[in-house]
Amino acid sequence: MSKIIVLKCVGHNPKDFELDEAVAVQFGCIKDLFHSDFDAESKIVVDVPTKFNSYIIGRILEFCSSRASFSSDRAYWEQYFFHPCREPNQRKRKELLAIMEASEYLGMESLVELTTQSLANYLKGKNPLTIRSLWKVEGDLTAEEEEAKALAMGVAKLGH
Amino acid sequence: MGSSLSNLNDGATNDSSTGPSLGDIPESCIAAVFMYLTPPEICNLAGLNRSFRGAASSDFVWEKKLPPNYQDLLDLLPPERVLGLSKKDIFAVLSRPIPFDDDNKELWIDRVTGRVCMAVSARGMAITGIEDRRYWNWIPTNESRFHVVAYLQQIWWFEVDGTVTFHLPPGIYSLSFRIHLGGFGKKSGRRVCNYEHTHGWDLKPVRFSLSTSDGQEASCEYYLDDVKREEAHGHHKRGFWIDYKVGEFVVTGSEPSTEIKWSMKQIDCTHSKGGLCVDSVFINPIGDLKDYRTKSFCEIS
Repeated sequence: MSKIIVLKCVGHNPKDFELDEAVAVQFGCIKDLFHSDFDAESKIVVDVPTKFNSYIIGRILEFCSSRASFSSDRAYWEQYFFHPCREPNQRKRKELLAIMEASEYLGMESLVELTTQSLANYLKGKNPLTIRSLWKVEGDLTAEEEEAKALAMGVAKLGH
Repeated sequence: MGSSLSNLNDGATNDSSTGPSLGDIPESCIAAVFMYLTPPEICNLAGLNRSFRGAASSDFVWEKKLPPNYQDLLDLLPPERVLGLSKKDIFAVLSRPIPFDDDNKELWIDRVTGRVCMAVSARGMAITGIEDRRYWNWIPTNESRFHVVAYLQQIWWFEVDGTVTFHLPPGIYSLSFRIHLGGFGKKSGRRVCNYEHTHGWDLKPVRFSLSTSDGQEASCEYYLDDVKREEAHGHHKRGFWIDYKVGEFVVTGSEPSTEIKWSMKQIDCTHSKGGLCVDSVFINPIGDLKDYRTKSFCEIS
């Protein structure tokens, strides 16, 4: 009987995910649990923070279990898992950010790389006002900080 | 904000009203995104919100954008100028030209790639006959980053040699000469060129070569003037600065420093040549070491 780790999602649509060792060792934050001394038949329950809902955790586990059948993680990501496109819709944006943050929390390096690279591609070449509008970001710089930023941009242009 | 509409469209159970927004993601994630962006892109995103601004100033991000040997570049500056600087400030300081070797050479890092670039003034090179004003003269000008170029009036033995030793970061580099056929100046505020001394460059090519301390070599020949001059079309090589690429070399990083030598010669003394300005040599980074290895592998196979 192999060790089992349970990821307990309590947020929207609560759900428990049982991970076998092959999947669990892909997460930096829990792989060490397999090396600690405990009864081989015991189950360890790991509480997932509320902000990571069961859908997102399910997507991440789907990635972990399916990636091996593709030539590379990137191939799987682009061909099947996330289809990079010119401009994602609001739902896709939310999903990308949620997977990114959850992967970082779980220590799933490959997914962190893929999600952050995708986000970088979406942000490249756009001015902050466009990004705020597309990604629903509130600008929270004070008037002084905005002025300092404008000054710095002006100096940067002169320096060119 | 449209989240309920997303729920209707969404057969799956992702509730986007509880999902993170770009403004909420932790600075550590933003820093990871910045790994894939260039310094100008990072500075652009610093204006998004506080988290982005914070990540855009972090040492963690900027350390990755600096070349591995950035300390060698800092060592060229007066110590008080680099005291207490953040990694972002170091990047800004090093992206402006840093003079060394009696101000005859400059180093800087490219703002987009973070790679090390170098320029060597004609003043920092060995030019045959430079001390004889019948052959060569120094012309002050703003058209050179060193504010002076060497103007050749006329000579038989044309040879310009140079060398530099520096700890360049691993990568592929290209070396080129910056040359102007004809003299130039300003008349009534307009740029004018003169070709009264320009001759001989269409008869035989000039030989360019480079070599490195670890045995790499490259060479090529160029005619500096148009060989077949047709009046209707004019001269295609006269009156503007041209970068003549000598070749490429690789720095693997296995040596503490690399010595690079270069040469430009036309020493066929059966004909004289003249009417040319030599400004500088540029050493520009053109790729990573892994690009070279991939290319070599492809060529072999």
